[in-house]
Amino acid sequence: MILAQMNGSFLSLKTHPVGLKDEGTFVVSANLLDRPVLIIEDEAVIAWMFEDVLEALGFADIMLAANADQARSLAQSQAPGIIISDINLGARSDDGIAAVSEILAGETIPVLFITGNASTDALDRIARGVPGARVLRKPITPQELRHAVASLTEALH
Amino acid sequence: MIGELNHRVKNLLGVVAGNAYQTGKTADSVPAFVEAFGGRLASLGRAHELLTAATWEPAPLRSLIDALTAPYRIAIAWWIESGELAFEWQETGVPMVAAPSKRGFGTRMIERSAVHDLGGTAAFDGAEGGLTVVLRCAGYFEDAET
Repeated sequence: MILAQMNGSFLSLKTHPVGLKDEGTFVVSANLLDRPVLIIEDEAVIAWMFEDVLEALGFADIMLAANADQARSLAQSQAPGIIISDINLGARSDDGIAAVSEILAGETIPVLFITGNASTDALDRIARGVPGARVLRKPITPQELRHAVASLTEALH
Repeated sequence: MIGELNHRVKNLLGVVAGNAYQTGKTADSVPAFVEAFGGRLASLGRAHELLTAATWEPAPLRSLIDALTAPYRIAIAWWIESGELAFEWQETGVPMVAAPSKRGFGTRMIERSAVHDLGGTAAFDGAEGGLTVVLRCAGYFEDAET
């Protein structure tokens, strides 16, 4: 169910029930819903959950990358409007912080790191390379993801 | 060392949460959820055990297949075809009604893993009295000794 609000620049989204009884109402900026989302996550089942949650929030264009190389080439084919990234992407890949800061190249878009590695070293690198990014610790619930995406997009206004 | 273990545990918990989420999407009751989710956790545990036994080193495909499929009636073959590894899984004596029309968790998980983890494809063929699955991935095993 989608309810347009007064000023037209926001959509209030009542998400579809997926496992939880009360999904709550989240406000995601309508112009952001049109921008592509880039998800960088090496575990297929985790990426799948993120994709489902974002789809239910109303994002239409979701790109999935399993490693840094895929993330770079997807971001080149289509500039993302929001990035959700893991940090550790396996031994064969650069990590998510390196990939995201390279993709942004100084530009500011909403970035959310969802990671099992929130070490002080990682947080320092994020503060330097991807300032403004939010960091959530794994495991996260769909509800936490919805909240985080909604608050990231609110911060844009 | 403790830091690395911490990442792995947190990541595994993320995988468990992802499995719970996908199971919750299709389970139509709490007991059905408990049954399906318990089974998936047990499978995750067995896979983890095998990888731990191999100390997370590349293991010969044959020994992995022998360990996993010994109790079942499954024929497995693999070959290299124009730079691609093709891996065929044939199950016989299972009641299959044509190709799976309602694509369940397992089918979608295999498809998604083939694309996401292997950069390849998965094809399902439910012929009469059996199921054939073919996985293909390009050059992924070139570095491994087989």
